[in-house]
Amino acid sequence: MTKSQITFMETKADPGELLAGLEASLNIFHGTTRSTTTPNTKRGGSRITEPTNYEEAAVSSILHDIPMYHSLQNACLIEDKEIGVINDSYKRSMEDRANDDEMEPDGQGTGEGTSTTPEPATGEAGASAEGAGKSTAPDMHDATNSPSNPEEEFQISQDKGAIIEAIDALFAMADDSNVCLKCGESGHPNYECQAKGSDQVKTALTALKKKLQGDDVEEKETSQEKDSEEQDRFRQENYKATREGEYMYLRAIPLSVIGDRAHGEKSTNGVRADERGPTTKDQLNHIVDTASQKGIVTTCKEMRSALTYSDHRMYKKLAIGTDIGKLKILPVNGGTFYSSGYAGHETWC
Amino acid sequence: MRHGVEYPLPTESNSNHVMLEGWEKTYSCYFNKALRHHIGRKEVWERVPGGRQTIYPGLKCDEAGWVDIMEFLHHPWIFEHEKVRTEDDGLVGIDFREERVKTMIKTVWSEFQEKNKIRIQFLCIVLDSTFDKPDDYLKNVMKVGDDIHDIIAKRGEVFLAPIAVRSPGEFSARGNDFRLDYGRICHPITTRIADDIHFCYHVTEFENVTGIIKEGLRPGGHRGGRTQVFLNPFVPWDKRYKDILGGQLTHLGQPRMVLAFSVHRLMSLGAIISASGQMVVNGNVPFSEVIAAWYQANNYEWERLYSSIPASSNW
Repeated sequence: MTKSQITFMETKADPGELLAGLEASLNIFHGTTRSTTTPNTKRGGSRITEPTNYEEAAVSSILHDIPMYHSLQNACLIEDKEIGVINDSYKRSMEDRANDDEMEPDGQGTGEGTSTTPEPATGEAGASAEGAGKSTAPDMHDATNSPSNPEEEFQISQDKGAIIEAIDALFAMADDSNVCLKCGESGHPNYECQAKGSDQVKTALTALKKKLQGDDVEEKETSQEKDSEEQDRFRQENYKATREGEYMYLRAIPLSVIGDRAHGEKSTNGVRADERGPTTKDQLNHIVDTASQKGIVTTCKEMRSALTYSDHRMYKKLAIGTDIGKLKILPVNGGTFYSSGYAGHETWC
Repeated sequence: MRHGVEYPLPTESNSNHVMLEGWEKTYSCYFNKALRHHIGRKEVWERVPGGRQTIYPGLKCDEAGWVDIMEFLHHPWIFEHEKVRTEDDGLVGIDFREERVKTMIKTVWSEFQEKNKIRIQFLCIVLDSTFDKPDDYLKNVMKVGDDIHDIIAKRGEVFLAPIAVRSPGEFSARGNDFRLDYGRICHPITTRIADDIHFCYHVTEFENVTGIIKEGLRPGGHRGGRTQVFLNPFVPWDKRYKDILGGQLTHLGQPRMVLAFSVHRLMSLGAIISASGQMVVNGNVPFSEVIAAWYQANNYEWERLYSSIPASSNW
């Protein structure tokens, strides 16, 4: 449907512009907004003007005298493209409102729809309720609370971030300093406090931190009181991790301590790691043999040295029936034995 | 002197390599496991099909890990549960005991030739020129006769019989388990030995670096369970690590780290050397003793750590 012009008071005019101009005049005349007296049924493709007093009735009579006025009631005064834009905006607005409703926790909802007021019985009251419902739409709510200046909004966000960081730093500093925020005593960190009862300081600061992170956190926090203990434990683990993590900052190592880099990547104090030490198996064995000769372990010089071992629940002292001779470890290639009962003495059983 | 078994040492023309049969390899594995993980325990258990557990007595030992040879030769976990040889199943006769000792000696010699690892040590009663006359035990149990003096004069010393066995390797122990006295197992390190070895190394996972910096090298790592720290004389990329020491590469597939220590400096911590050539230190080794470190991401090339060591260290 396209726009058409009508003749009004010897002047051809667009009926939509004409009606809008008359409506603006009435609003100025009454000093009231259209929404209080005129329900906007634009979605239905029509505009209904309801007079409330004599002057309006007079104007309405003029309007009704307009040729083709009644036929214009069902006329669409906007083009198809504009209808599409309006429909898209309307759908998006309804989707946003629906999403907001779903995000509301159980027990905290405002009822079906966006208003807690009872369902209106009359059309006028219904119009009022509908208007109230629209006023709590997310976009309207944000528009009234958020600053209009983006720079101011950025500054506020920065301030919030600084406070959140300060809260984190406070907890970390208290832990590092072994000062408990719960009981107020020093000597132990917060997570090791044995005092019973809730940690009011931490709860308050955590609530503030959450509040700063998002306005809707308070409602979530109310619904998540059951998980508060788990969250505390989680935070305590984070504090521990923070304490351990502080050692992970890197720094350069003085080369004079760990050797000269000029001697190669795989050198220690100028000596290649694979050029020192025994080069053959025999050399290593010789070193061990030398060590064993210096020690008293492999070869017990006297039989009595074996008798110094304890004999209690965990250990069993070797049963040696004689103190004559020596104890010595058999060579790895074996050996021959004098005793015919070498595999254990025969009286064992 | 016809008892026991003695294998010829390798010569220039003949390596005299001793090969183990399949069942002997199996026995070697069980000997090693029993002497390392069954000692000092009241009982050990094994799962059997059907979800049941079979419980066997453990092996009693002294602080040096020595187990009475008769107790070991009758360890039911080896000779009854595993059933390596059906003809040697639970019998306790002298012939079978001698056979078991010979098998043990053979496995020791073969493992030493192949992997340079000493799996079992035999503690024996030895008589030398200081011997005068036998007492009742030597006379009645060891059957020491009058010919012993001639043999001693000819050989210098005579091995009468083994009385105990042990493994000189690492032992497992948890919680309040017994602890071996490595001072009675390993040998003290002299300055000359420190000159020969010079450096020793420890391989560990890189994620342990923070704990090592804070607490030093802990025995058994973060799991604990040991009282000694073990260090190798060779770095993992040195071919001697495997050729001489028979070391297996560990912690593969994850970031690793090698820490280097000076053997001379570890002497002040009471470092000792094991029969396998490993350095053993009782207790923690402080991080301040680390003189170099290398890092390997997965299986890439080892890189020297110069600046990637965390702060708060004792460098």
